[in-house]
Amino acid sequence: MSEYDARGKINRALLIGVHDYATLRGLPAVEDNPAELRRALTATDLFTADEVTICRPGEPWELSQALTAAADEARGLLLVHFSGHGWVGSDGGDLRLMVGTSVPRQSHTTVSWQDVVLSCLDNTRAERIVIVLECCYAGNAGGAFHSHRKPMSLLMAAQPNRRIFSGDEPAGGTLFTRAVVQILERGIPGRRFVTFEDLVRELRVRLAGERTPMGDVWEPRSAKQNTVDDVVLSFATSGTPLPTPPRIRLRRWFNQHLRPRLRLLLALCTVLVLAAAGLTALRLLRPLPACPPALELRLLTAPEAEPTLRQAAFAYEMSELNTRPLQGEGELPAGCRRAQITVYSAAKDQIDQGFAAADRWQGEAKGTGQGQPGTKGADPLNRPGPQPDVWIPESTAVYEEARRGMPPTGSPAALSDTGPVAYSPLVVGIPATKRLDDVEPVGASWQDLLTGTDSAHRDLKLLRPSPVLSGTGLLHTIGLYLANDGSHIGTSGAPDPALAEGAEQRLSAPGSQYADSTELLCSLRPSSADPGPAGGQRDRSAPLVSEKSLADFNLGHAVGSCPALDAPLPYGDRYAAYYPRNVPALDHPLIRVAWRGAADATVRRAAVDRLAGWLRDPQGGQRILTAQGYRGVPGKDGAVPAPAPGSPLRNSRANADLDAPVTPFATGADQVARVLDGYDKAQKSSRLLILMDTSTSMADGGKLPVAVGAADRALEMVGAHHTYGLWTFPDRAHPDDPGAVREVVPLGTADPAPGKAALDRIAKGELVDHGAAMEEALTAAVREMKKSAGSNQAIVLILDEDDGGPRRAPGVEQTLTALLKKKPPVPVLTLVLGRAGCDTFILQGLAGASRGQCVPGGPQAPDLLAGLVASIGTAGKGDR
Amino acid sequence: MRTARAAGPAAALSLLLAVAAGGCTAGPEPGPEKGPIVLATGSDLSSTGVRQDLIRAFEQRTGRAVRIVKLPDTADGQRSQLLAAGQSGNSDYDVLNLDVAWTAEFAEAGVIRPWGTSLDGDFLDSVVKTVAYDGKIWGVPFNTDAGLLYYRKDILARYGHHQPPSNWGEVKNIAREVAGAYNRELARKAKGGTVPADRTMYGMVAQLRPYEGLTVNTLEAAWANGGDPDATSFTKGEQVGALQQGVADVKDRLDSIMPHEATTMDETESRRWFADGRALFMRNWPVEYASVAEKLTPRKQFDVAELPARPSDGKRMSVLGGQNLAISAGSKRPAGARALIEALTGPGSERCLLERGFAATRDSAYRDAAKAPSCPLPPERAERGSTGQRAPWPGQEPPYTRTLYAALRAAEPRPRSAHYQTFSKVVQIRVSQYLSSRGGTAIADALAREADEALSGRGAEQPRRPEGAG
Repeated sequence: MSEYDARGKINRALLIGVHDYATLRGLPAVEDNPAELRRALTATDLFTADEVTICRPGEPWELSQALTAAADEARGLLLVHFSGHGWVGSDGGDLRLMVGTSVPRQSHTTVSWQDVVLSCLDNTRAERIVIVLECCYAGNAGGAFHSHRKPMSLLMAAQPNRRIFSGDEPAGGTLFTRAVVQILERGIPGRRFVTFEDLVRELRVRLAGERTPMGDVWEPRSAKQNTVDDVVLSFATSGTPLPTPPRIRLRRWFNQHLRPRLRLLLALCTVLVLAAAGLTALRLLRPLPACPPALELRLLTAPEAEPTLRQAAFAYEMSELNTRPLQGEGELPAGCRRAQITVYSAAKDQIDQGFAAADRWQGEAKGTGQGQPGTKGADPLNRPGPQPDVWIPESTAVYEEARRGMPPTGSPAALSDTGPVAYSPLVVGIPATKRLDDVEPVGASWQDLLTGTDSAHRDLKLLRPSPVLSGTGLLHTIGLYLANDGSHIGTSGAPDPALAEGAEQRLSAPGSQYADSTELLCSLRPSSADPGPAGGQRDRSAPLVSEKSLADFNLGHAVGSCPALDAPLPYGDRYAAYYPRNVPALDHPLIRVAWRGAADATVRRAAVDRLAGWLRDPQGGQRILTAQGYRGVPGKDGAVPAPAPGSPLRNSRANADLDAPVTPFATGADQVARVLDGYDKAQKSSRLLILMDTSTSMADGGKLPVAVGAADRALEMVGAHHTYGLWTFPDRAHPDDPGAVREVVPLGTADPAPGKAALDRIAKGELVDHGAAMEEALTAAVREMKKSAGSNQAIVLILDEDDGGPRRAPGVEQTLTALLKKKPPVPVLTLVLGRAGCDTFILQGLAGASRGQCVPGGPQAPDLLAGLVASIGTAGKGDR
Repeated sequence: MRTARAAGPAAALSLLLAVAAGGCTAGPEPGPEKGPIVLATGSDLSSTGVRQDLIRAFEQRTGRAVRIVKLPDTADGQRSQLLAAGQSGNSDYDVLNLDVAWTAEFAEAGVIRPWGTSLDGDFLDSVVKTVAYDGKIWGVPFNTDAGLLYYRKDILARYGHHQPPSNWGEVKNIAREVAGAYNRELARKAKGGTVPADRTMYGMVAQLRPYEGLTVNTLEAAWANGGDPDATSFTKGEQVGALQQGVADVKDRLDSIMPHEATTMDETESRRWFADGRALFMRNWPVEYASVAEKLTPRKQFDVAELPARPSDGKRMSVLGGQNLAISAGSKRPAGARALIEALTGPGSERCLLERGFAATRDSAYRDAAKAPSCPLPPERAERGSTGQRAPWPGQEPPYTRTLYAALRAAEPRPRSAHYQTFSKVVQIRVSQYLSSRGGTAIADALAREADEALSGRGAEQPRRPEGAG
């Protein structure tokens, strides 16, 4: 075995001793350990006095800071010695070093052997590392002794699960340290020096007669990583010590006297050189110039993809690609971030409206107010939001549809598709306890899945994100219509209206659609506080979502507005992913958006292209996207890479199937249009009555903007086959009649403009200072709606709270409930902005009796409501 | 409009005179400015409310029209659009309503122009810091904000605590003790001994969702542990310690006295929990006071105090919130912009803001009602419905005013850097990872290093290996 001789190199010894504890028993013996060790180390020809540091940490950061400093400075041998209390978890793992203020079981007050000490040492530039742990449970350090690359030797004062301090030790150095010091100082008979192995062997001999405070034998242990060498720790001998070789003395003299001044000498030289080289070179010596604000890029995406893209965008900001100097771009100081990215999201229909009215978007942004005011999307800067430089929709189908809505010429926004950045196959989630008979999870056609889930078989309710609000919903609809029999979707071919109708029949009834797949899954999340509707609905539902969202749901990650759980869901609460054959996957194309008149158009375009390239780079953005559960983009060989080892899809509890192929989107733009057309046709005409509480209390606490925003959003859902009415209550003209309502826009109106105008007036404060008697007003509304025989109708009730209670005539509630239960069904979709939210008996009862739903106020409320409204016209046959 | 014919020419004449007079004081003017003054702002300003009323009053007084451009609802979206459009030279806005944390970045990016003069001494010193950057003043403070500790006065008193806690250690101890006793009592009374989850009392709620609110809570915790609000680096010894202790404290509170859901809470959601009677303490802004008061009786059931003091020097430092008004660099109507900003931030206007639920930026607004400037807006009309806005405390100061005033004077701005946004993103990402981890690992060194990198405007020092699966 060769011996490593560190003499003359830049060595460091960090001697950590903690004897004074705030909450633990003091260790008076430890107090002298560092000084004793320093004497031994400097007297035996290995370390010089300035290479040894003593540290008595009170706070965890003091220890980690000293450790980092020593690790940074050492180039030869780095020796770290810790004596003090140690503590382990109940399983004996996770050794923690206790500093002065450490408290047992409050791990943030301690220093982790594994996470702090080892990870710090792994980053040192020292050639060899020797660690001596003298603490209770030191022997347990061996279990977590891993190093990626550094040659390390570890000496543990005792075998695992032993305490070594009783707390009663006298002062003057501990038993163990005294033994170490003696061995290092006196040397070993017949040896020219003391190596690490020698030390271990000799210690075992000396401690053989000792007992640990627990009464058993005391046996120091050692371990090594990445090395077979032995390290010399002392040049003491039992006889006459050999003189230090002149070579080493010379190097030490250089280290001690010249090296500290080396910088000075170098600086002097540099100054001379610079003086000669002139001003250009001088610039290099100045402190780094301040960085100007980076170019702000606006990245618009769908709500589902926002969390992942946020992470990726931030990683890009700090990446080398974003900070590396570019040729021909001289004005930015070296190392500065070139771009910064804000990621935000909006519902699909709002994005479509934004691009369709790009002139208004641009006009609002310029402050000129140009562009035609439309009936839809009046404030594009408010919704969908900033003018994007980059748009990443869920699917190319969404992009095609937005393109179709834009004027052929003259739009100030120019869109270019640069291709996909991440995939996620579309799936149908089948309750894990109700797997389909004779239907394979991979390879079955939509037809098979529809049959397997119908009322004659598993009897599952298919839930789909709205094709109007969500790209996932749109692509699922394309799959349902065009790949119904499982055949490959060509670039031509139109959906069969009968097939479309048949498929829509299965996606039935109000409440079967959601704003996007994460909100849909969030509504199915089991909740301990509320095992009611969600629990009952969960195992009778089959959500049409993406593989990534379903994996997140199963693994207990955050989905939509549901926070992350501690653990994956239990088997019975999970959904198994079924992959309908030949249905294209979400492909997340990156669309570059250029706005007319931008002075920095070239720079902005280059910045977007660099981001796009990085997102597709297997060493760049792809690592983040796949780590979040997306499938990667094809490599140079054209093949879609298998999910990486860290991918959540590989977790068996994600219930995903890695064999499911990624089908690229190849559908033509016309086909997307025809599918949407088919979807529209498959819907029956519907009627919506918006009934809104306009009492003055709505103006308090910011409720009015939410209420108006939600009503506005509901109006946007009124499509070609749909009519609506807008009624408000209480009625100023009839202050004494609690049942009076104001028919602001009569039922049966198709043009959204009068509704928008009325809402605008309400937003500006057209409110009535009476209490609002909800039940009476609702009774009037329901009575009117029940006059029609049509089944596709609903009431959207927006209120603050029911003020009618005290003066209510007897029997109003019973009348209302009885009325609601009569045919035809008129579901009441309620948005409550008041104190109690949906948790009142009456509102629960309303939702139940009318087969509607109640949504509490909050940031997601308008979109949740829109999702419910969007499904009113769907071709379903009502409740199942 | 009955006298429009007769009054028209006179009004036009007086308007001309007014413009001419304005021209003399505001420096050389190439000619009268054309078109309405364009004010870009988030939706809180363009919906009904006092700020809208002040704008309308300005229009009536001066005859100049103000066009309000409604920006995205989120602060991140507002910043992104204003900054990017400014960088593209693509905007004709005159007045920008900016979050206080953005001054440095917008100034450096050349999106706003210097205000040109100093501010009068009536503005609160701490608040003026938020418009100062690089030795210049870049705008005028419009409304400000300071975090307060909301507490359940009634329940604390029932268990023998008649004063709000004075430091964070006490908050934790009292929260544990009182919430424990309260829940045990609930369980005794409940049928079958089980309390429904939504009636369980927690010790505290705060804003720990990964957004700006988490940065605010983290900075306050670091300052409470000795951190220096003026420090420009987090890697210096004491700052690392304060930051580590600060994030450890936040995690400790989350694990011991807060519901797990706190990691998804923003201002509104945390207020909802507190107002619903599900938490004893809450850190939040005064603007939520009125909403809490809808459900709990002020001064009886709940009250507010300054944030707990740091033990070393007794300072009760909150992060300053609020908005400043600045003139856009590309404004073609700078004189009108200036006049509008001066009107919106004058002593009378600031008193209106205070009376109607905002935190005023001027010292004079906080004087006793008799000595304070009076709000020039017409008092509440008889029928509330005609304005749609009910002042929470018409004609007088809100009940929290004294506490707020003290909190504002001790409050400090967030790091004033052109790269603040990236700094905040680092804090949000790292701290929320830490909060949801099983704990233990010290993150201060890595967090401090990354925070410094973020503030420097540069990238990661050396490419680091990605840490596991995100």
